[in-house]
Amino acid sequence: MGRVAGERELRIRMIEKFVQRSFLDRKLAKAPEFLGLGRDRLGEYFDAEFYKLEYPDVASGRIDPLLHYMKFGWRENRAPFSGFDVDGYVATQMNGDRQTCPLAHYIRFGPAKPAPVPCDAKAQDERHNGYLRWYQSQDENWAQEMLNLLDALGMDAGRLSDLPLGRHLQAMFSPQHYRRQQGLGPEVSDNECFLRYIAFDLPEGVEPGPFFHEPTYRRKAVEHGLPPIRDESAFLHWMRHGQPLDISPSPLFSTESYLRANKDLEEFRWSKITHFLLHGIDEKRQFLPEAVIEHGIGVDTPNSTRRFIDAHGHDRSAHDELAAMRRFLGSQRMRDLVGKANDCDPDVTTNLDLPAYLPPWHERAYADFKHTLGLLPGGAYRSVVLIPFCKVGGADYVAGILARTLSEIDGPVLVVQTDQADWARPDWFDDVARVDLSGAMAALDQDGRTRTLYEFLRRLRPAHVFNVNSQLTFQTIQRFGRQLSTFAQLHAYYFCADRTPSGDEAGHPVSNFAPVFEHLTTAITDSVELAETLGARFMLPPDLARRLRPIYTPARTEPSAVPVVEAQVRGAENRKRPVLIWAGRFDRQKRFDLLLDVARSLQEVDFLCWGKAVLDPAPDLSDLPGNVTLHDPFTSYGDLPLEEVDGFLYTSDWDGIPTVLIELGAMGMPIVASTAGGVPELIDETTGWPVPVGSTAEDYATAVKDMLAAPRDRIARAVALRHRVTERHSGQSYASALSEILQEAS
Amino acid sequence: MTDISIIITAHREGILAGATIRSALDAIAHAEAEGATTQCIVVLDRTDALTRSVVASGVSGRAEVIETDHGDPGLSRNSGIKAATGRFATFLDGDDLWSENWLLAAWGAACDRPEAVWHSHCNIVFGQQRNIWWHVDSEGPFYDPDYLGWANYWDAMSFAATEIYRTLPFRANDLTAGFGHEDWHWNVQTIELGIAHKPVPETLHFKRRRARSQMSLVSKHDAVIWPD
Repeated sequence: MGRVAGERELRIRMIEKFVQRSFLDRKLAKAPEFLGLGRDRLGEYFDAEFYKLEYPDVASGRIDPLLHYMKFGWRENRAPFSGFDVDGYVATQMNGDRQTCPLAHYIRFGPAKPAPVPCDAKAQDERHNGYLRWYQSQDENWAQEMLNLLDALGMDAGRLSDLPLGRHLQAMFSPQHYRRQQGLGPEVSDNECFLRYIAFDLPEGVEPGPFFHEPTYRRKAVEHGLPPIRDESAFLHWMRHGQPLDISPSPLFSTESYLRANKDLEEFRWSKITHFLLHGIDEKRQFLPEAVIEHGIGVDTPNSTRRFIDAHGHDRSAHDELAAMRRFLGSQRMRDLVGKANDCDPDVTTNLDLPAYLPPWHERAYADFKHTLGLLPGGAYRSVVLIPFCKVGGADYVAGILARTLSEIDGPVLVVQTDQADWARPDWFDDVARVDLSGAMAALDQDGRTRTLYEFLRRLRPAHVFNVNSQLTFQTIQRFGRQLSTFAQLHAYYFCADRTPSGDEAGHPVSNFAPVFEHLTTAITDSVELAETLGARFMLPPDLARRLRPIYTPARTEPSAVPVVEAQVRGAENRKRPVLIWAGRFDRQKRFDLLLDVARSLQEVDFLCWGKAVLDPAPDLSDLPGNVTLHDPFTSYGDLPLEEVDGFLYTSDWDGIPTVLIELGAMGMPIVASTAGGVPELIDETTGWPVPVGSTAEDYATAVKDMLAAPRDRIARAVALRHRVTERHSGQSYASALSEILQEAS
Repeated sequence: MTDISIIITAHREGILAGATIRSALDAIAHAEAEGATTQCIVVLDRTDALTRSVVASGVSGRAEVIETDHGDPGLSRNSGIKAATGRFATFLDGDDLWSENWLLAAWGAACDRPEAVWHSHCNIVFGQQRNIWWHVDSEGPFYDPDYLGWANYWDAMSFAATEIYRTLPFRANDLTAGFGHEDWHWNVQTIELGIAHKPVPETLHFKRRRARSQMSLVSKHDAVIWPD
C-alpha cells in the first residue's frame, strides 16, 4: 500500500513538472483553428484592401488587416474577401463548426477558386467527408498524445489504448468537480487536474465530470439494448458502446432538444453530443427545452453552461424538477389551462413556443455579478476605499495613505479597483485587503457596472465608503447615492481640476462634485484652496460647507535631521555657477516652456531638469538653452543632487499641493514657486519665494535672483518650510483629521 | 372559517380589470366545486371611474369592494388582508389572470404546508413581453440566495396563511428615497424568517407586461429594495 501511494506521489510530481514546463498546455491544446495553415497560406486568399474597405474600424486602426482577421475577424464572422458568405459557408460546408477559421477551411477543403460558389451534391459530399476525416484525425492525434504522455509518466497506457479516446473526454472533464472530489485546492491548475484524471482515474473507469450521470446511462443502455454493463465501469461502457451511438449520458442533454434549439445543426452528420461538448458549450448554444441559459459578458465570467452542468449534472432533485417542468410544458393540461385563459383575454397566446426562464440562469448581468461576488475576499470591512487603478500618480499615493490610515484608526479596510487592472505600487497599500473588479466590469454597460457596484457595496455594508478618483464610483453615487447613504457614510476625495487646451477647468471637481455632493458626508480636498473654491462656486451655506474638509497629504519621507539648504549654502562656493532643479511632466500644466524662458533670462544659472511629456505631446527639445540639462524622470528623491544645488524652481499654472513640494519642503529645500492652486498654503514669503500665476519669465528670474542673493534668508525660509511640512503634512496630523471626520460621521 | 380570501388589487386598469375578474370567478367556481369556501375582496386604490364601473359590473355583488387612497400596491394588499376572514389569502393584480386550477391546487398545497408561501408553477408573461417564468422552490436545487439579493424570484400573486400576511405586511414604496419593489422586499423578509416559497405544480399565472405599470415606474426611478 505504501509503495503504491509512493508511486502515485512520484507521478504527481512528474505531472507537476510537465505542467510547469508548459509541455502539457501544448499537448492539451484544442485543434488549431487554422487547420495547420500558416499566415502566408491564408494571405494568398485574403484580400486586405477589400477587408479595409469593408471594415472601416480595421482601416482606422493600426493593425495589419490579415493579423486582425486571424486574431479577431474570423471569429466575428467577417469576410476575408469579397463575395465570401461566411454564415452560408459555415452552415453548408462546415456543419456549423464555428471553432475553425472559415478561410482556412475554404483553402484546405473548399473549391480552388477565389469564391465559394454553389456546386453539385457529390463535390459537396466529398468536401464534407474530407473535413470529417480531418476532424476525426484530430481526435486520433489527441488520443495518441494522451497515451504518449501516460507512457512518459511510466504508466501502463495499454488499459486505455482500446478505448475510443477523443477530445470530447477533455470537454466533459470538470476541473471544479475533480478538485472537489479529490480535495484539491485552486493551486492545482485545470490542466494538471486533467492529467491526473487521465493518469489515475480514467483507467479505473471514473467519469470525467457531472455531464456523465451513471443512473441515466444505465437506464438508456437497457433501453437501447446495449450489451450488459456487468462489472465494467458504466463510463467506460459508455465510451465503448454508448458514445458511438450518440447516447446522451446526461439527463440535462438530449439530441432532440439540442437540434430543436439549433436548427442550423440539422444537417450536421456527426455526433450531436460531441458537437455540444466541443463546440456548443463554447458557442453558448441553448440545449434545455425548459430553460434558457444565458452567459455573462465579463471577460472572466465563467461559461454558464459549464456552471449549470457542474451544479446540476449529478443532482437528482434538479433532474426531477426539470423533468416536471418539461412534462408540464408540453402537456395537454397546460394547453387546456392556457386555452381557458385565452377565452378570458385572447392576448394570452396559445402558442407556447416561448423562451422559458429559470432564474437565475436566464440573466446575463447576474452571471457577471455572481462572478464578481466570487472575487470578494471574506470578512467584514469598516471602510471600502474605491480607486480606478494604482499607477504611480499622486491620487494613487493618497489612496494608499488613506487606506492604511483608516486601517490603523478604524479597523479593516477593503480597497476596490474599479476601472483598470494596474497595480504598480502594492507597497503603498501594505497589507490592506484588495479586490480588482476592473476585469469583471470591463464588458458591462454603464447600467450594469453601476448596478453591480451598488449591489457589491450593499453586500459589504461598510460603515464608510471613500472614493478616490474612481469614475465608476462617482457614477454609482449619482445613480444610487440616495440608497447607499442609508447604510454607509459616503466620502469622496477631490484633487485640483485639470484644464482643457482652451483653459476651461475639467475633471472630477467639475463634473463629479455637484452631481454627488448631496449624498456625501464629506468631500475631502488636498488643499484649503480647493475647498474654498468649491464652496464659493456653489455658494454653500455654512452647514453644507462644513462637509468640505481639506486634509493635507502627509510627506512620504521623514523630515531630514539637517535641512539640505545648509549643505547647499556651505558648498555654494565650490560651484562655479548657481544650479537649480526643475522636475515635472513636460505637459501644459507644468509650464516647462516657462522654465526654458527663465533659463534664457538667467544665462548665469544652470538648470537641471527631470521629466518627460505624459499627457500632452512632447515639446520640441531641439533648441534648448545651453544652461538646461535634461534627465529622464527620477524614481526616488535620492536620484537628485539635492545638496549640490541652490534651490528648486516650480512653474505650474494650476495644481493642488504638489507632492514634490511637500517632499522637498520636508528636506529643507529653498523653493521658488508659482502660486498655483494650493501652493500658497505651503510656499509664502516666509517659507519660499512665491511668484503669482501668470507672471512673466522675468518675474520668475527676479525671484530666483532674490533667492540666490540671500543665503541666510534661504536657510531661514527653507527651515520654516520644513517646519510647516512637519507640522501640517505628517502621518499623525493626517490620522487626526481623518479621525475627526469618522467621529463626526458616526 | 372561510378557507380562502381572494384579494384583487386594482388601480386604473380600466376594462382589463374585467378579464381579471372573469378569470378569478372561474378559479373561484372551480375551487368551490371541490368544497372550498371563499371570500372575494376587491381593493380599488386611487382608481378611476372606468375601473370602478368595470369592477362593479364584473363582481356584481359577489365581492366586497374597498376603496383606498394609498397610491401604493403593497398598502393596497395590506388593506385587503385587513378585511380578509379566510384561513388563507391570495392576491391577484387587476390586469393579470389565474389558471382555472390555481385556487384549488394552491389551497391543497397550503393545507399540507401552511407555513409556506405558494406561487404558480410558472408565469406566462404576455403583452409587451412574452415568455415563461418558472417559480423556483426556495427549498429546491435551483434556489440561489445570492440571486434574491440581486433580483426577485417570485411576484406578489402568492397564496399563504393569512396570518403570514398579517404578521409581515407589505412595505410602502418610497420612490423619493429610491426604494421600492415591495413584493421582492417581502420575499426577502419571509425567506429571512425561514418561510419557504414553493411552486404549486401545474398551475399558471398570466402576467401582463405593459408600459406605465407600477413595476416600470419603480424601475424608472432606479429604485432598489430596502437594504434591511
